[in-house]
Amino acid sequence: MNQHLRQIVVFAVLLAAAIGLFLLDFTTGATQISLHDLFLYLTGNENSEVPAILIREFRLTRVLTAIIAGASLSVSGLLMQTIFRNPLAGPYVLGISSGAGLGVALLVLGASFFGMNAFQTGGGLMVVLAAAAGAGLVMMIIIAASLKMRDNITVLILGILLAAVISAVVNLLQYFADSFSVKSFVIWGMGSLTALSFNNLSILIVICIPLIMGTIYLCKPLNLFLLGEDYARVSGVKVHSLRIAVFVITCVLAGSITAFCGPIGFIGIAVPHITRWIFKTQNHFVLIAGVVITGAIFMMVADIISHSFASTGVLPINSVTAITGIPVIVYIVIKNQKNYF
Amino acid sequence: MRLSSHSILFIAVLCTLAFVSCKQSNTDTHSIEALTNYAARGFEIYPTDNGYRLRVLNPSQYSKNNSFEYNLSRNSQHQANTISIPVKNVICCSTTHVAFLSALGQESSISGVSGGNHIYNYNLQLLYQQNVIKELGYDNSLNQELIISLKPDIVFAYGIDNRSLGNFQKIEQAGIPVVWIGEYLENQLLGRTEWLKFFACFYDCLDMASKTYDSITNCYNNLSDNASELYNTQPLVISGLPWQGVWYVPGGDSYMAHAIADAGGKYLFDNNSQRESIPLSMEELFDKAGNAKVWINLNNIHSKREILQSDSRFNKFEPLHSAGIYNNNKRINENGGNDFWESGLIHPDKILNDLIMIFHQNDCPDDSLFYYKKL
Repeated sequence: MNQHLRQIVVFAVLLAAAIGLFLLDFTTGATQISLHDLFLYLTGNENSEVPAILIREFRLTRVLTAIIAGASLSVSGLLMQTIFRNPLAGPYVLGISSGAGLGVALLVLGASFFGMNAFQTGGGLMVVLAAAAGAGLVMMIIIAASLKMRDNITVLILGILLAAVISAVVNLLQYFADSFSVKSFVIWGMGSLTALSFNNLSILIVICIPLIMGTIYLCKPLNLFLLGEDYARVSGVKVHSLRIAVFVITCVLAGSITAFCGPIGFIGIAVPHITRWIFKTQNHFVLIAGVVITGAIFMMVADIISHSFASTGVLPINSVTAITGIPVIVYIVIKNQKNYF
Repeated sequence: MRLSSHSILFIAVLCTLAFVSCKQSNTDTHSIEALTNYAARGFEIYPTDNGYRLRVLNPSQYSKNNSFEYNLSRNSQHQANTISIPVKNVICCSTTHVAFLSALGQESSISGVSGGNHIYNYNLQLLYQQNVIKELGYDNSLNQELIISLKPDIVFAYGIDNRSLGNFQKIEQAGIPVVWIGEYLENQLLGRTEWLKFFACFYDCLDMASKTYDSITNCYNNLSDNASELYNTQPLVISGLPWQGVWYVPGGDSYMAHAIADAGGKYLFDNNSQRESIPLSMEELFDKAGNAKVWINLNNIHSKREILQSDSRFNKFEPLHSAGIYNNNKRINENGGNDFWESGLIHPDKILNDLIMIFHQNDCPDDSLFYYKKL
């Protein structure tokens, strides 16, 4: 079988798996909701015993959030790994997660310092805005730095240093905050796909889908970039513009997901590796589409696991992605000890 | 056989560890009979000729078969491994400890606290602001140097896990006894209150504390009996508020679940034997809590508007519109310190009275409640 045909078959299999997992994830949860209920809801039939709010605001929103989050973080991870030529790079390597964390910490823990709490100061939407503001601040610093600095590694180091400084500030805030606020912050840090309302999800879709689709225009320059920066430049790629475009897309994708769902680790690092392994290619035209579908699958599997223990509650999604993601990445690293970059 | 210096050192360390371990758990308490506790499960008091021998059982959330013993003596000046009572200078690592000392009239013995700005007690808050009572920080950030420099007779500490127990190792090495308090692990309101007797031993006023506790217990039981006799209906009760889509509800064997039952309510999640909070998806509450008549303990929320702000989906949550919603934050100070968690420990009868009023009086007015308020 030639490689092209093989890739089409793999895509078809992954798509079928994604559809199957969508249906399985939809029926997994504390409440008994069947596919028949989904069908009745989608066809506008009100005979279902399950209230529409459970289907729309909780189950459907949760599964669609898993798909969007998985796809967005995976695309971010792929772009970062290519632009930094580093297999360990991920969407959060530039300090975006830390920036979002700082925003939430200032709201949740800082408010506690002034005798208020996150609920009084605006509740769930404020947490989203604070995380977005924090991530946006770090993003602007990184982009400003990338305009000045030509070296990717310098930008990477700046991101790591920023994350360290932010972590210190967050520690200070935690030191002075009351236990309730610290607990709230810790829970935010565990990540959640269930915190979003359908309206929140709509915002996420409007931000993420166009950006993911826009990355198609970066595929050709990214493929050339893999052959070396000088080669790409000679081939007509505006390397500096490419780098800024990648940073902007990554920051907005990862920042939005973190703002709404909290930090979700390992998807961004693990999925690009899994996708390269499955498709056996470095071609970004294949990889972008591949990481979208694989990321969605990975996230839905994590979501199913986190809701399969309904009798004892819900497992934090961040822990599930770490527990499932790390063995996969270790297996791939050991199995394919070759350098993609 | 000739032992090397390393072997001798190794054996010496082993012997030291064995000695320390014995001190921690194997002191003989079988020859003396422990006083019977009414509801508390976390401590035992053994009266001795010159004082008390105290045993604390499993003082952290994850500890099993772990106990700590303390010998308290009225004439034990400079006696090793013995705490001389009454103590005059103590450190409290929780505002709940402050509440017990306040109930015993021993506030003046407190020289340092953790999280002092959350103390609700007015007099103690004043002393804290005047720096008479020092701030010591929390957990890893505990100011151990300051604790040691304050030269307390004892430190009342609590441990969530083994790591937090380790935070106090240096203080113990400095010769300051660390007394583990596990009142928060009790699964009855009266069990938490009974720790008053434990604290009283350090001030040699156990009789007074026992009488106070008996009076509180009588009051609590009378209220509970009256509630079950007077009211036939059991309103369905839910508790808590979700954060990031996860709703932490009290376990079916928690003190709040028992308090709801004692007040004549039917707790929605009473069909399990967990003491700790259970993380549930918000979806599950939307599915199961539609018929709830009462909704209590909503973290730091002050109004229905704030509930909606926390998550817009609550607009379609039936109890928001139909249930009586009451929060336990009627008495809070400007820093968010909540008296429910402070003096509420000593007044379970007042908490129970509030719950009975909330469950069985239609549109219960705020002025008839002590710790709760209607949202």
